[in-house]
Amino acid sequence: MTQPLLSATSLGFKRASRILLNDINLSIKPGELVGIIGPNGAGKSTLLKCLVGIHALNRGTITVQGSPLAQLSHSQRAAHISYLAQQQQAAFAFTVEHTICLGAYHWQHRTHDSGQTVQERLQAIVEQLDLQPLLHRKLDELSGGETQLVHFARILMQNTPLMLLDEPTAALDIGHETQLMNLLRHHCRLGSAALVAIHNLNIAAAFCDRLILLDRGEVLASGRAEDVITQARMNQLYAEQVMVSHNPVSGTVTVLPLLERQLHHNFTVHLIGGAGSTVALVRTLLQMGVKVTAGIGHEQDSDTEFWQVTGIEHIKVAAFSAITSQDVERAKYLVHSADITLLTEFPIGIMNDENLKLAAQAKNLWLIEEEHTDPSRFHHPDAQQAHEAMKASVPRYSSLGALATIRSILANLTDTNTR
Amino acid sequence: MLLSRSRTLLNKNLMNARAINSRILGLCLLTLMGITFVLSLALGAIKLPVNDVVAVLNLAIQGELEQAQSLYPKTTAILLHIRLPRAFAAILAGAALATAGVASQGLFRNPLASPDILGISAGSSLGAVIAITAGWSMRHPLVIPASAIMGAALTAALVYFLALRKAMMQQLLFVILSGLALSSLLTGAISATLLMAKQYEVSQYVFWTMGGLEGRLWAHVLWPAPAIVLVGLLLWRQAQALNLIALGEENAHGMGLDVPRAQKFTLLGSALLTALAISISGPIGFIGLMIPHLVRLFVGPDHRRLMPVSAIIGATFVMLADLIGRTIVAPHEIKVGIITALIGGSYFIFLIARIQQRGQL
Repeated sequence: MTQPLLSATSLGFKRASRILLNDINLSIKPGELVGIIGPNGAGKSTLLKCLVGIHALNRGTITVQGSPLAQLSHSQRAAHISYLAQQQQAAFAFTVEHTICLGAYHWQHRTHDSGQTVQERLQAIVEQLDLQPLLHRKLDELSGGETQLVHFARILMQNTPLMLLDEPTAALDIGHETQLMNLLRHHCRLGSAALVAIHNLNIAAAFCDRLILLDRGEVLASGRAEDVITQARMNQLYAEQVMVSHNPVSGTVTVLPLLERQLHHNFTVHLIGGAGSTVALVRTLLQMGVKVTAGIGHEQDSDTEFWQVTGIEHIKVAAFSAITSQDVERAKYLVHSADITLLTEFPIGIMNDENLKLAAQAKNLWLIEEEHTDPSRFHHPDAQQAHEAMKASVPRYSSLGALATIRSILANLTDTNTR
Repeated sequence: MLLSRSRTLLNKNLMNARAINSRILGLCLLTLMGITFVLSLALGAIKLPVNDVVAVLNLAIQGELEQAQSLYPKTTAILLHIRLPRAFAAILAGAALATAGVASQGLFRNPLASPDILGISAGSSLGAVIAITAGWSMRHPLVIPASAIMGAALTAALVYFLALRKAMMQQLLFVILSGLALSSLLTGAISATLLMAKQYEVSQYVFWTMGGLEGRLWAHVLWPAPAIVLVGLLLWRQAQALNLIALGEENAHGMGLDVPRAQKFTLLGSALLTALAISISGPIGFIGLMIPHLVRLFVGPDHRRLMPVSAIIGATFVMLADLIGRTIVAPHEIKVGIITALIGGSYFIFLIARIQQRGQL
């Protein structure tokens, strides 16, 4: 087993009798990209500052590749750990080149380097980060994204096995954020390790190998993103204002903010669909504050999985088994109690054609019709006939049209409630 | 020596092209300083021919002072006893104040900082006012400088024990507050002392506070010179540390700098340089603030270049200001502190206008 680059045991830190960190244990191995997440004031920055030796510990020990951090000299420490503080403006406008070269301070100092190695390394980093056009610009002429990239280059110049970065992407747009995180990931793949404080949960989940969730100075959970970011924990930390789901494309955990706290718990929409046709609708409806139910779906179908992670009430059957009339009986109460039932477009065959019978029971059924209908989605003519019959008698909407209509219904509801 | 040292230091980190640039820059600056030096020796209440001045200097450098005295008796006498010590006093005071200014601006990460905020000037003034009112200043010309440096050193020690000894990173505000508190305390003590002083003592003190170089002897210059050179070079060694601190104390720590140590060292160094400069010339205002600022506009913010260049420009500037002061209404003199204050004040107003216009320095 490889020796951890850094490990902390029962670490504690307090300032003026206020406990800021309590009993933190962690270790980081080569090649890992670890994210520290948690709400504001959870202790993310404080933890990083303790790990790089800016704050002296009250309790516990920090070990850097086998030797205690407290016993390392400043330059020894800087050879193991680099640290990027949360955005600090430079007091004087150095050139980009000069700023990056400052990263070489500790080893240049020690090896009495003539400048040759610094120049070579600078060239390599500049090429990799595509910084050539900025090289002779001054720091105060750069955008926020460019500045962070320059500081990251400086960290690379320091050439340490472990990088500690405090909110490196906090002020960046999504393009720069992605660029920086990909670079970081790339360097971790090459054998470095990084511990990054990130407040953007989606970025943390998408890029980090492992997450550490802090709350009020304690580790609440740690491990893979999908194990750490759960609806229950997010409800606890962010007062039920966010929704945890899985991105149907990338498969990563996604956290979405819920629009205002105007919940229409008394308004229910039921969705019947499959093969991913309900995902976008469910997400938007949840964000609108509507109560959503769904079914009948098959286990392992992307819709059913999505219903599962978003925690909505739904009816499902085992994978590869046909939906029976008993299942329809089971699901009936959902369509009966829903104000609106939406039937989306999805392939219908003998395994799921009972869903059409379920739809027929709805008190207020809408058909969702997309612009490009797949003509071969009915696998037997009976189902197609049943569907055609429905078409004649119920309203038909596109997804967006249905959502807009529901939104206006909700607006009317709120109006009448407030009056 | 200075030039070759600066070259080796710069070559370390800068590309060849830029090293050549800084060599040219260094040469230009030293030439400028040389010209000012010769001019300030030649011009004054009595004008001396430049050729004679250069000839005497040449002979003096070759160690043939007696020949100079016999060939150019008047020029040699004026140079040796009046103008040379005065020019050296200007060089030392200017270089020391400018270097201290660079160091404290770098340390406080603020281009408007100066060692004055530590109360050093007030401390040296108190030393001077005590020496004057106690009547010691009559006994020997070195008494006022010695008392001034004592006052400054005591103030520096007080600031150190009050704020710095236990100061951690990012507690520089604490240092500044202590300096301010001490400053007002010392200024109060100065006023109280002056209240009980005789009229001519008050005048003597007021003249001293204007900062001047008139009547400076070799004795004034020779003993602080080695200390100024030594502390100046030690501060120059901190230049890279100041560059790191400019990126923020925490980032500097991350890059392997012992930040509190560098901060203490720089603070004490610049306090000491200020005290030494005041002992030579009295408090000359605005050099420490203005020169680093001006130089930064031309050579950029890298402290490794900024510090030596500021020292040279500072020396040249004080020499020039003194030259103007003693030639503009000759045979009367305007004290060098008045000239620098006039230029410095105007420069500051210009700066403020610039900040308002551009939103930046």
